[in-house]
Amino acid sequence: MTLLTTPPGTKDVLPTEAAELRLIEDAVRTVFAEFGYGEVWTPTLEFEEVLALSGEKAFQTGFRMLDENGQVLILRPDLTAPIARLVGSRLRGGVPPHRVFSISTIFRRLSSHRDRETEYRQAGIELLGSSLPHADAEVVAVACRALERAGLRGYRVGVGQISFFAGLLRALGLDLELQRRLTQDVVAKDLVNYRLIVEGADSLLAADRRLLLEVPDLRGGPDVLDRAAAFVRSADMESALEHLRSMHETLVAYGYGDRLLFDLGIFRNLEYYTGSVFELYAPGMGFTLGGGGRYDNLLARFGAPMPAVGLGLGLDRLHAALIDQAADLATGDQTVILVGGLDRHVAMADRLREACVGVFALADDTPAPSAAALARQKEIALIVAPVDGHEGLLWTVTDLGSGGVDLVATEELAARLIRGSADLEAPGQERAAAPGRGTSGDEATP
Amino acid sequence: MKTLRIALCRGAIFNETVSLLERVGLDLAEVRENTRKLIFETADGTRFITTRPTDVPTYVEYGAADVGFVGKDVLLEAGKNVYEVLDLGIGRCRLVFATAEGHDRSLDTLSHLGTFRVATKYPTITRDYFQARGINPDIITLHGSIELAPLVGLADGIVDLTSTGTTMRENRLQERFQLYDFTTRMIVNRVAHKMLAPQVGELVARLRELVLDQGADGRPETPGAAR
Repeated sequence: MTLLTTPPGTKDVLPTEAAELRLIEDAVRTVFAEFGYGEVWTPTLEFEEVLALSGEKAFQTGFRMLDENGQVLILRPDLTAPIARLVGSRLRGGVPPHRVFSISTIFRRLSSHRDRETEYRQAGIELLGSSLPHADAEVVAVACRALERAGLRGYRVGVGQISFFAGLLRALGLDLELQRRLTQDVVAKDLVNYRLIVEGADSLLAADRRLLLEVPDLRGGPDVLDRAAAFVRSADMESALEHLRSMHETLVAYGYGDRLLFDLGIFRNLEYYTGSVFELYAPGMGFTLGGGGRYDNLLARFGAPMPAVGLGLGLDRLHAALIDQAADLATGDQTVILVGGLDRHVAMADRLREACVGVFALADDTPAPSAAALARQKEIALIVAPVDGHEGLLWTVTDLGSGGVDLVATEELAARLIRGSADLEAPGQERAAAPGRGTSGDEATP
Repeated sequence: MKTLRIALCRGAIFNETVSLLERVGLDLAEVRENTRKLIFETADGTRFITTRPTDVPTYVEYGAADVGFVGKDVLLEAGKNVYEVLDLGIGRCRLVFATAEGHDRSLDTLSHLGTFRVATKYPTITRDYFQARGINPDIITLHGSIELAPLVGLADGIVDLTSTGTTMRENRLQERFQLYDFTTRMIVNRVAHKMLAPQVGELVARLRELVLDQGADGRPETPGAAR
């Protein structure tokens, strides 16, 4: 094989990117834990017929293989269905509500038209066993806090309500086929065909037709909830709207009221959603960072009927959005090359490691040019080497960024290295100020 | 307020689209005049990107443009995840199946063979159309002069756009049936549709008013309406 490529939609992650992704993942994980969510790991491989219980058509494009008994296995196509299975099996006897999160790789074969990622890392939370609108609000608040903790600015959360639209179709007495076609078009975002069908439906009264035409365009701030009141034609629709109002109130209390874009035209492409739906947006990014919603019927399919709400966050996408905003993703960790750290100065290497300096150890006889070349290739800024005749007492610290060389005594070495290069801005300080805390003041509402 | 980035295609529908946009108050004088420049910015900060028709959905899907104007043929073939918000009712053309003149090798005749060869620039639309009718044609993707294929025995028939039918007649091809009737659509990036809702909404409203005045909306046929 001449080209050592990986399959389309997959990638290798090298140390710098891995460190950045890890930083984001840690921030997200910490926020999840602060809200009392417990981490679960589900297998990468699942039985296809078990996940098929979800009835989710989007999984049809999943990656499959056979096990030794001829059973069809599927690579985890999302985070929610495996958790629903888990709740239906190992958590069955537990007392709801359950708060669980999972950070895993998911695999989905996207359309044949494009080479988008087929393997990507997602962070998902699920709050199972509560039908309260405050549960939806909490899930959205967790997402907001996670985005802020990761350092993202200017993000918005789109909040929709599928049951409001579904309720309208029912209240207007549309036949099931018409309901299906209209739903299909709003999910496909084909508002042209949607309008054409509505305009062509002879059985509709003019006033009803107007409602159908305007519903997918109801979007904006909380005023949308007031405007939507004029569309209510049934108790179902009223309670769907009331759900959003309560969510809004609670999210205002969290401090996230001005992050919300209410939009009754949001329809997620997963079929298990039954009520409120969410999408996460970053300014300047053409794709959503993640999304979720309420799925009150899914758990029953796994034998544990209970309402649930959840949200998934694409970590690679969040990473891309942070890079786009030039957010500081420096870990503040310092790694140095220590000449002799591999053999004669193992003790010194360990002393530095204990002081939280990463040590890339080289043999004592490594020529200086080789050490410098290695450092450049590994993106390591500092080279530490013993001083001839003063081994164990004095060290040279060469800063490849500035070209400067310092002479440092053993006792001061760790402190000097943690400080990093005085010529470069200290990454540790910047990082403490940058990520996420108190970012709301720096943005105008849209 | 943030202004929109709008993707336009240089091509058959360019002049009509530009005229419509000018009538809703956008300044496209430079876009009209300078055919070599690719990016234009007007005084109010609105940015226009000009590109090939087939690339417009891609720019919009990835968010390099917030809004795009492109034919439904291109949109259907590309299958992108974008909002399709408005039928401009311009740039009308028909996608038809045609075979050599004379003896009728229409779909019924051909389908008893189980399969037949179709040459087209629209492999996805063609495959989806025939498959929905239980036929799996052998699709030959060409990039130009589709009319040539049946004349030299490369294909039994073609699926191609036609507006007047002149090119087909000149090549002694006969239209056998119409697959779709296409017009120009306005598409919106899925995040811009939310984050820039006021700007997008205003442009849609102004264009819709214009389109309704012209009575171009509400046509009887559209792809997908029969799903």
